[in-house]
Amino acid sequence: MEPSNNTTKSEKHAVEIKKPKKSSNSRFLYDLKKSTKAKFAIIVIFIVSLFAILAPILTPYDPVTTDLMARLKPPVPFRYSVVSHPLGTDALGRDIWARIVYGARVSLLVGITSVIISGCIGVTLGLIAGYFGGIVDDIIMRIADILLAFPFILLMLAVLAVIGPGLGNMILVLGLTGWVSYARVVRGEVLSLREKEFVESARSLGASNMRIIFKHILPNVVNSVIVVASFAVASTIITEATLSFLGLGVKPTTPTWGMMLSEGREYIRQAWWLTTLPGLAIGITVLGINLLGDWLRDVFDPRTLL
Amino acid sequence: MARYTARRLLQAIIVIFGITIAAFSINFLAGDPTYVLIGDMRGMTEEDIQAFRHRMGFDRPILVQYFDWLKNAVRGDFGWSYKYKEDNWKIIVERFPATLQLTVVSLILQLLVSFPLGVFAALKRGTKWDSFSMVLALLGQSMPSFWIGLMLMMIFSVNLKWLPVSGRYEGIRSMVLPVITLSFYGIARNTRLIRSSMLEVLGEDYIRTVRAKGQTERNVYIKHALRNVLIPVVTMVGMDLGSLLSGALVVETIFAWPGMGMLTVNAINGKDIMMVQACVTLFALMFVFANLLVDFTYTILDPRVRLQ
Repeated sequence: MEPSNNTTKSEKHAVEIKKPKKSSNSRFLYDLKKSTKAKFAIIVIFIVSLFAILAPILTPYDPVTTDLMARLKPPVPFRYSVVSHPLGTDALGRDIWARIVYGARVSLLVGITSVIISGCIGVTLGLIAGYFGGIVDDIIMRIADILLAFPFILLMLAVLAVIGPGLGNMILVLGLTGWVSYARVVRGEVLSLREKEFVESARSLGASNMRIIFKHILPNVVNSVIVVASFAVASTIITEATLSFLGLGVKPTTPTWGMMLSEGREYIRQAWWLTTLPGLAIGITVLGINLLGDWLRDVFDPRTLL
Repeated sequence: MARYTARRLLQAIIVIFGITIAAFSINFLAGDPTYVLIGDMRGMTEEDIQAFRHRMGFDRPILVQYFDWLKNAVRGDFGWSYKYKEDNWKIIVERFPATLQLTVVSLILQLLVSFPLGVFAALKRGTKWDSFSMVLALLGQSMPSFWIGLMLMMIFSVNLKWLPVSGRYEGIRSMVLPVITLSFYGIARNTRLIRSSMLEVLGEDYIRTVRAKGQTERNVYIKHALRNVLIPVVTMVGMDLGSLLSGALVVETIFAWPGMGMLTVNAINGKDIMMVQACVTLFALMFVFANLLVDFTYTILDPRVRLQ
């Protein structure tokens, strides 16, 4: 244990001296190998992505085709189960495994796209607010306060109820309302970064504001943005499930985990698997992404380890 | 202190103003509110629609409509609900105590569980206990609360038949599951927050000074560390209120708890727009006032804030 550890360290050190850029990469991989948390996170995210991409290959069933002859079959080891439906079927005879695998598509799609939208908005606004300060900063931060003052789900529900549910609308609403946390984090960092010497030297060399913001400040906030974004993907997946559960998510024909839970709720007395399995799918996916965020925070900001 | 208070109050007023604008504009998100309110337009002539629009005042300039709405809202007049055939404000006042009861009890439970757990994890830092409670907390943060609610309902109400499935008729027995469901996420998050702020405080110079003076470990923790951990806890309570109010929407729907959350979700699903406006405004106002209160408590507890 000891000697191998030493060689890794000295190797790392050697690389660091020669090529500073590569060292951060190898440190990243070194941290990754060391952390059980990160390994678990990456395995979970890999499997869920596989579900989403290979859904038609992983199951012979269509997630929306009903089969009333095979209604409410329990998962395999239980009584009355059938081998052809390993995780059982719902009240309309749809295969649960197929619906969970296809449901991963919606969860990941909504999670990732809306985080990209809100991330772009939030980072831009945070950079502007932090760099220019003054009245611009005041206006942006007050809008952020207003958004934060609404119970989040309530805001989404109200907007979706009026503009109508649907995948596109949901992504749009989640994207347009989710930028506040990025803006706050980025603004906070920019406030201290803009006083740093390297910004001052860039300015004295005649760099424009835009160049300073995007070339010199932005690279320094990327780490925090990645951490915020990974937690945001996790919470967006939960929000999507909640909205679908309350009946204001995507179209009723699209299989989503939240909708499965809401349908399963009607059969909570007869069919435990209808509520248990989709919930586990959400929980494990979100746990994986949260663990990734947790680990990234530890790697990027060792202060939090204490 | 006076300057800080004034500044903070001014901010709150601006935020409240923004909230009313946002709540008012829910009406216009889908275009003409006349059609949303009418819904089914079969058998209506163009004149009928015009007459309805005029009666509702939707043919006036938007600014006039907004200030009219605001003027009425300030007097507690949030319009008439077509669904309940009753004054919106009256229904809200009836439902409010149920939500208040649910959120306050959940808030207390959250603090009672997460504070000792977080402090314990911090004191046992790096041990099995620490990692165990952190894994548990992360797990709690990852599970959707409505799913936890459904699982609890399935186990304790449907299978074991210990507790009622829904409603608010059996006193404390009715409250057990909704309160646990609602506080689940908060317990998980707060445990982590309290652990990290306890660790931060324990790393401060004054703790080292106290130790160097020869105080017992017990005194270090109780007299010096815990008191300073309380400061971030106050902020946490402010955040908790927001997530509890959001959570109440879902939890009340699952357990058919007759509070404002269920009222709002039903109003949204029934396109009862004036009720939605009223609920959105009041939820947001409660949140703003709670945060204001938290900020003032904060300045009393931590004088450094005032100086900034």
